[in-house]
Amino acid sequence: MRLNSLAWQRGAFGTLGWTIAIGAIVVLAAFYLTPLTFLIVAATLAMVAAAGVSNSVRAAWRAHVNRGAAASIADRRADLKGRLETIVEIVQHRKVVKLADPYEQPMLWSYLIEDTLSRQEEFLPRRVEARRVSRSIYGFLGSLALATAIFPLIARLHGKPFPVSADQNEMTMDLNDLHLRAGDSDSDDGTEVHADAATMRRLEEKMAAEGVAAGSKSSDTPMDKMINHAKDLAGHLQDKLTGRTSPRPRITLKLADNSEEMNSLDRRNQLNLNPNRKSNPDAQFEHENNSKGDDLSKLKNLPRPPDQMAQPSGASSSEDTNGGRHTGSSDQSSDKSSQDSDAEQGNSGSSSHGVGTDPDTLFGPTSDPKLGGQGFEISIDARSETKGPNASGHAYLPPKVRTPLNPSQHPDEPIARASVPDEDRAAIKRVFER
Amino acid sequence: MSEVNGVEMPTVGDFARIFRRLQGEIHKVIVGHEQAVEELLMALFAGGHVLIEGVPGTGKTTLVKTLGLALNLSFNRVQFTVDLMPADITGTRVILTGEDGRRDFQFQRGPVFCNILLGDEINRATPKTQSALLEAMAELQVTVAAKTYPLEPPFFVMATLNPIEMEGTYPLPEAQLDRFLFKVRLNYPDEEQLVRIISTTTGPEEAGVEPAFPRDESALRIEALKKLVRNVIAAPALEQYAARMVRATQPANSKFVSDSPRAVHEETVNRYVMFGSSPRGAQALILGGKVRALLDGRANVAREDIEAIAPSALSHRIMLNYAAHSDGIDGAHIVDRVVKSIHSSRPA
Repeated sequence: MRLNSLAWQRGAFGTLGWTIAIGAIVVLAAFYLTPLTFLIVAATLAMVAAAGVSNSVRAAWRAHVNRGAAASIADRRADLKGRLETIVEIVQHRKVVKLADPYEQPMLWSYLIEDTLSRQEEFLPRRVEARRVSRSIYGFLGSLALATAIFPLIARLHGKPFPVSADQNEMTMDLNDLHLRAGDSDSDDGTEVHADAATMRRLEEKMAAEGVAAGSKSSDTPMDKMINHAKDLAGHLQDKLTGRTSPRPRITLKLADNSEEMNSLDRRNQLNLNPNRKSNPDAQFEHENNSKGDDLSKLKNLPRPPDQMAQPSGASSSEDTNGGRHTGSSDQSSDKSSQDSDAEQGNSGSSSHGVGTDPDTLFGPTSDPKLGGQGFEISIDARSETKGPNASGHAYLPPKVRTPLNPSQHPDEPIARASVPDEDRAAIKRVFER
Repeated sequence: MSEVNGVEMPTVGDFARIFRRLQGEIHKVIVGHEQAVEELLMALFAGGHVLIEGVPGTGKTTLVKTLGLALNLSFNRVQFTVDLMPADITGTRVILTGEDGRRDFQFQRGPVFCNILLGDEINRATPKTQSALLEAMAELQVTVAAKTYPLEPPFFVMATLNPIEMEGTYPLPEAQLDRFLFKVRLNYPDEEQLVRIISTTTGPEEAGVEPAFPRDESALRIEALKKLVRNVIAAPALEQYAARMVRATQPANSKFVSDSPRAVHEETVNRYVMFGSSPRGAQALILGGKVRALLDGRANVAREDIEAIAPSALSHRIMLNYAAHSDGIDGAHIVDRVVKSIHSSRPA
């Protein structure tokens, strides 16, 4: 009884321990991980939990003993040399009635019983198995402690919206740096794109050139669909676990077209005739940024229209929280551009490069009816690169570094021909003639 | 307690007491070889026969003679040689003239008609002669000229083997090897034992062995003790344990060639064993285990008994292949590995 009780305790504590520990980790992960990562982590943890629970149940099943096995264990632990096991086995295999009959029972049966009973003290349950509670309770308590440690953190984060930082919310990218690919129209985590009309037209051209249609359902492959469904599932699960109802923060991407700026810069640089421009992209990049900074500083000093100055800075985020697909109108885009420029005044200069390269088209026409119908939304994979491609679209090539040779190395040059001694010439000639 | 053939049935305590007394008497003459003496007596009470292997001068013949004296039983010795014939062991029919003057064939009993038979250097005789002992050992009877003559119990054969001087010897056939319950090895004595041997055998007085039983009761008392051994209880699980151990010595039942969940994972068996133990090996395990249980004051066989008896009971029943001989692997090594495998497969 006690051995089987311990076996089932082992199974129960093991199952509960694994479930609680993994559950706590999954809930915690829901707060911090993106849907796809969360899905992978949750699936992995679920498999670990399943394996752990299965292992615990199997161990409990193995530890569960019948009478014979219990007697065998008691024999070993009490050093009874098989006395109990023999009695149990004989009783199980022969009828007790037969054993009660002196003519039917083995000759030494009574001796065995008396001998075993005389050692009764040695196989009392508390001596055979002193524990009443399985050691697996420590694992269970450990998982409870883990869950208790995680609970305050979960309680603090529960129901709160996703943390948003200004750096993550707004990004400024050069149009030439973008690699466009079709996004999922079902997905909510698109990125709002704002730019002046000319840049938007260039974006359209670029999309057309790369075969991406605006608003089209691009991910048609079954794998993409499956991944999107998995993302949705993970997102819903995360929302349920975290209690967050608002969607994830969307990135407002401000596009800039460097090509026109480059044209103007080229014109200026042609005057400067800087020979290092082509060979040193970094220097070129810095130079462009400095130039842009100069332009911006000039622009920032310009007086603003009153309606743009009075625009509240949180207008963009309030639009985002509506959750619907945002179709930017020309007014909105111009408003946002003005907000962005206001924000950039307080931000670091790193986010201001490329914005409004041409002062004439920096904010675009305030009411352009054509642009109003051209506002759209795309999904963009943005990667930060310290050495981005230059304006001409060529890949960055690192400068060639000449490392000195070590003393045991020789330059890759042909070895000078040695003169053949006169006495060997005849022999060499013979060999080659053969 | 009941009686057997007019002799009171001994108790478990009596068995252990008599056994220890016999051991003591034998050790008056035999110095050392404690395990060999114990196994010899165990085989006697289990109703089996013993094959003693040892180099010359280790006391093989002395041990057997001393046992005969201690048991107070009839004892014969046969020196096996190449020209020994089966009739020299079993006996033969000879023409004898009766009191009435008539000549008739009469059976002249051979040395096999005794309680304790010592076959010295049994591997020096031809297989034909060696086989003359088969029927006597297995069935306690001898058949000569289509007539069967029963042997008087207890009948106990002890054969000695000389592992060296193999020139002109005939290794025992497997069928005969299988009929020996145990194979006992006699090793060289250590220095202390050797000093004691010198002092006891070169002095003016010879060690006297006192018989454990009176001459007329000896055979009956020993038979009663043998009957007691048979009454020791072996649980079905223990019988299964012995069966598993025997099957584990058979390469056909190795896990490498069998899908049976009960197969033992023992690579050594598969690699080195040509033929494993016969069912007689399982009988030897249980019978030896029963004697050990009685010596321990128990009426039941334990797994420890079977494991302890396994090397003596199984090692000579395993036929090894050439790879084993070239790698210096013997039967005892195989049995040791099998016992460990079986032991580790026991439930925790």
